[in-house]
Amino acid sequence: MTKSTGKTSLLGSLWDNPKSRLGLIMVTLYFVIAIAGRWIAEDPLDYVGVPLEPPSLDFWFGTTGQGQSVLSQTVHGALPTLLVGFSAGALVIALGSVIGGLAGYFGGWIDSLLSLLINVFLLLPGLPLMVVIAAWLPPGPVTLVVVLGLTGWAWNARVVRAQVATMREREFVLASQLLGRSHLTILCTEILPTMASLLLSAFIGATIYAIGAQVGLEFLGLGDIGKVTWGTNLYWASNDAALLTGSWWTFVPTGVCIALLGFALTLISFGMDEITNPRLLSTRRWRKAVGEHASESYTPVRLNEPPLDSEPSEGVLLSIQNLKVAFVGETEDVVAVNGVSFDINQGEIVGLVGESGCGKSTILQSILRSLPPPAVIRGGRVLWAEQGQNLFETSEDEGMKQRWTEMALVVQSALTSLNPVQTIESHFYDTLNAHPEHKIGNPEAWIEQLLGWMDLEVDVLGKYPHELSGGMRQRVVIALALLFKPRLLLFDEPTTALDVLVEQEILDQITKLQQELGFSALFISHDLSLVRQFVDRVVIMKDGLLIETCQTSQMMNAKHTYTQQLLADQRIEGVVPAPSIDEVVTQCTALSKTYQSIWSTPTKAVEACTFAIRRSGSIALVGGSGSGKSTIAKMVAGLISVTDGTLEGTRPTQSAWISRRPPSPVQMIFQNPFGALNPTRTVRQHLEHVHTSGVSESDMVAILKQVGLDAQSTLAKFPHELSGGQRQRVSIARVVLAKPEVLIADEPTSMLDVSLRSDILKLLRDLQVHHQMALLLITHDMAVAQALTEELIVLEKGVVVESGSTAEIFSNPQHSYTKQLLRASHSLEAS
Amino acid sequence: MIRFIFQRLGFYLLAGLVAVTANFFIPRLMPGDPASVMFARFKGKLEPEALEAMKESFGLSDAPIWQQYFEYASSLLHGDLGTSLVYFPMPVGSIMAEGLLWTTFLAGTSLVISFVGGTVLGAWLAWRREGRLDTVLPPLLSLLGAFPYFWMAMLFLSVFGFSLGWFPTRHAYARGLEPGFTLPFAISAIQHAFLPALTMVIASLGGWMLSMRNVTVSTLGTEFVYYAHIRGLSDKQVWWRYAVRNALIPNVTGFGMALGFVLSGALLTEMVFGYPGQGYLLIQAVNGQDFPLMQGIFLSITFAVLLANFLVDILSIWLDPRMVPRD
Repeated sequence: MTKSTGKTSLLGSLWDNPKSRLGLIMVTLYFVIAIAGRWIAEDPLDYVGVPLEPPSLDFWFGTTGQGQSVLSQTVHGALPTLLVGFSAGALVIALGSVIGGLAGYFGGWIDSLLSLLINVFLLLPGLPLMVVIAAWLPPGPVTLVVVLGLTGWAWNARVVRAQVATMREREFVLASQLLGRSHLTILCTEILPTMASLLLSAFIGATIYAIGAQVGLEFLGLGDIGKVTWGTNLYWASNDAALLTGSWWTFVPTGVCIALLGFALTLISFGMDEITNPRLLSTRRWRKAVGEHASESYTPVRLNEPPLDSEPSEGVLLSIQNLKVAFVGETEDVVAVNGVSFDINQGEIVGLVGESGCGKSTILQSILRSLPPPAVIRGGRVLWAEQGQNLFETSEDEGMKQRWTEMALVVQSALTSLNPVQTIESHFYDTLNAHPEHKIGNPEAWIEQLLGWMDLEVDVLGKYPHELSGGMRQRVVIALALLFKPRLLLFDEPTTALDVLVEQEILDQITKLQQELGFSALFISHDLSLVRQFVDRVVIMKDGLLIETCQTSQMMNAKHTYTQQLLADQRIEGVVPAPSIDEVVTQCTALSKTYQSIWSTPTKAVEACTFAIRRSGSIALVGGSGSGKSTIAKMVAGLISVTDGTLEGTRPTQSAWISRRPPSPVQMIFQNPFGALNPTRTVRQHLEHVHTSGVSESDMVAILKQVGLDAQSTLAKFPHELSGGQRQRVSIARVVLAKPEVLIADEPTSMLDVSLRSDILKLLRDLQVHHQMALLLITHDMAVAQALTEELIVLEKGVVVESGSTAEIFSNPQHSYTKQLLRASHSLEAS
Repeated sequence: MIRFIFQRLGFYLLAGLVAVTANFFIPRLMPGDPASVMFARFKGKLEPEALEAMKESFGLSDAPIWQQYFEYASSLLHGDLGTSLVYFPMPVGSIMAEGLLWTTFLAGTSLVISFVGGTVLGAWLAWRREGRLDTVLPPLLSLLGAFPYFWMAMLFLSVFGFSLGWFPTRHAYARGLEPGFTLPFAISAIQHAFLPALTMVIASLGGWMLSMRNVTVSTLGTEFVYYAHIRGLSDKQVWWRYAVRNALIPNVTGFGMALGFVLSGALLTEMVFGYPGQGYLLIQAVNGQDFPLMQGIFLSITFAVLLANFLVDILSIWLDPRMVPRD
């Protein structure tokens, strides 16, 4: 399955969608008739009949107030109207993309200024402004296009600006800047192509607007009233007193033509919505599979075979038996969970561990029956053991009552899970009121007690979600889950999005509460070493299958090779730091970064940080989130300005506005492998552009081999056809091709599955030695720092709290923050 | 909060200044010498005093351009928008005063009706999404919305006004009635406004409805809606208090921003119905090439839009706690 380019696939999928296909056919038909009709239809200005003659066999659409044929006026009016409409639409998109693109791309004061301009133009009322401008220009099609473009660009500019602004910080844009590509090239060839579908739908919108506004202006008499267009047709219809005489045929055909054209364009837009938002289509397919009346909020059970009866043993709270879950796909079901069975005992914490996509979250959501479409439960049963109740035979009403009172969920992302316009307090009371059958004596006191358990002050109740920190929100979500003291708590990676140290605190709190309240829990995680700390039993999954269940204490004796492999992956083995040469490549002295803002007090991100990067050497900046480590990396890479302090020796070069520069001697590898490559470009295109003069085929093959990829199968692929690990390897290949003296690696493995970690780190280290690059490593994980670097700098809130040789700090940490970081690094414990 | 309001006020002031400046520069930036273009057009058509007045109202003199600009701005500040050519020698300001009142009445009412109606319908369609109404209404209303406003007005006027005679065909109230707060006058005003208002509502309802529907549906797919469901909240509560409540925010801001566009349609509708609002004045001004009046209308509509947007801002503060940081 290969896609040639983003554009043709967009057109192709537009053709595949019934709505947009109808729209495309209609628009094409319009153009065919508009062009061919000019030869076929008679001269629209000829006086061929009696004025205001109704439609007849001679004159299908009747005659105008002057006795001209309405049909031929309608046909002849089409082409000029279409041309002006589509050109004005294109001009609107061009102006909007350039102005919006520049504003979004550059940010800062350029953005403030251009955004102001955009917002002001948005507010200016279109028609009166058009009238004021058009009145001064000679009437004609060019005037119309210019006027429509000038008055309509702001809307599109706003849309483009917003989108480009989100792309500006994307890793692939930063990577291109480091490779010396000019800002203009990046904007036009990297960013705008990724927005093809957005720009196309904006073009459709702009064209609809332009046709309407053009007809309006001409209706006012501001067009060239001597020419035949749809607008002037209507102008004459109203001036020839068609209304007074009831001669509807003089204006109805033109209006219907305009409306049908607008409708055709809208259909293309509708189709595009469905393509870019496949949820709509997949829900429809799902409905077909599970029946019209299935509830979207209570996952339907459609068993392929009756479940086997097996009685759970004593002391089991929840028994999952032979669970099968599938997603309704285009042609057949995609199996997500394939026959998984395990029990959760009373008062036990079970960890469910596996790599991304192994089906662990699907299991959790099946227990709650909260999997959204297109999921369907295909087999097995889930027993609430004491009552012998099969949750897959429970009615929606009953199930909804059970949710939250007997089993509750702690979600992963508290920020997006809380209603932004409600206070924390009303989240609690909404939940309480949803379960009137479950009375709580003194809710106020109980909620306060819950908050107290989570170390939260009572005043968070009056706050909105956005006013709390990430850690506080996560605590609120846990408190909410405990509201009815449920027997079973389901944790869906509840700490993944948090800072390492906050994560540790919250895990400690969960353990403490569990001991106090005695609930059972299922804890989902991708991180075996994290889960091992506090769960009683671990269930290991892979590709929708259960691999093994074992007691945490017995882990080392696990039978299955996959489990053994996972355990081994927790340790970083066989990587030793590259030896440095005693020559300073870049000296950073007293680097500081302060973010200024017009409205709020300036924030200091980094304060007076000094260190030296040595040739072939490696140095790590470690700290939790907000410690300023990434800010330093960006300063060293030249991606943000230095507020105070100096960079001496090898310094980054900056991209120019228009001309191409050679790659910067300071290059960077980014955390997110999904963002580091441009989705519209192939691997080959990514590598080719590294050098101004291009990169030879043999060099590309050689570098891909070095990073462990097969050139033949990889070069032609798009990023979405590669796995996360492969993408990270391509990013590394691209950076190494640029032959940097300093390589910055920003959490290079934290978003990859843990099984890939050792390999990628090893690869980095080998390349570092081979190409004599100095390495600046940014990480929160002390184990990664230990594997790769000789020197360590510990940062807390932008200030260096400890620095020195890595080995020494590990054996004898001085600062309490360093000790906390060491404790939070689970991989260290594993080894 | 106070700071936010002042920030917005500052922005609107700036936008107003841009409009005023555009008004000043457009005639001067256009190809050819504006004075000679204009005078050539009016030679022989206008009294010499009218030409003099026009020259004066544009501040067209030999003074340096910044001086002309300040003279222009200061006369604006005194409420002097120049002298109309069509209604010579009436000042533009006093001609527009009545028109502005009628436009506010007609366009204001129908805009609010179509926005509120469209939003309610859209929210309802999102609740019954994929239902029968949801498959019929969106394409139907977007087809209706694709007709130009003024064309719809022509059709309605010709069918319900002229052919069937159900509604008055011109003006804002019956001839011979004295404007005032009297019952007969009010009834007559409503009778006259009904048809133009109906066309505007029909033409614009679909847009509001579709955007509200789509935003609500996509809000229904967010994590906070999912989380609310899991906590046991009923579908109806989730739809109303979580989805619709949040979907209102972008829709209200969108309303403010689309106002300029929508008002343009309202002006064209007025022209067709001979309704004595700003739109009717605009066509008079275009036909008579009355530039001071055109520019005055542009300014007055701009300021109306700015004012409406300020009200939308206040509404947004109330709707969205994230807009303004609390101290």
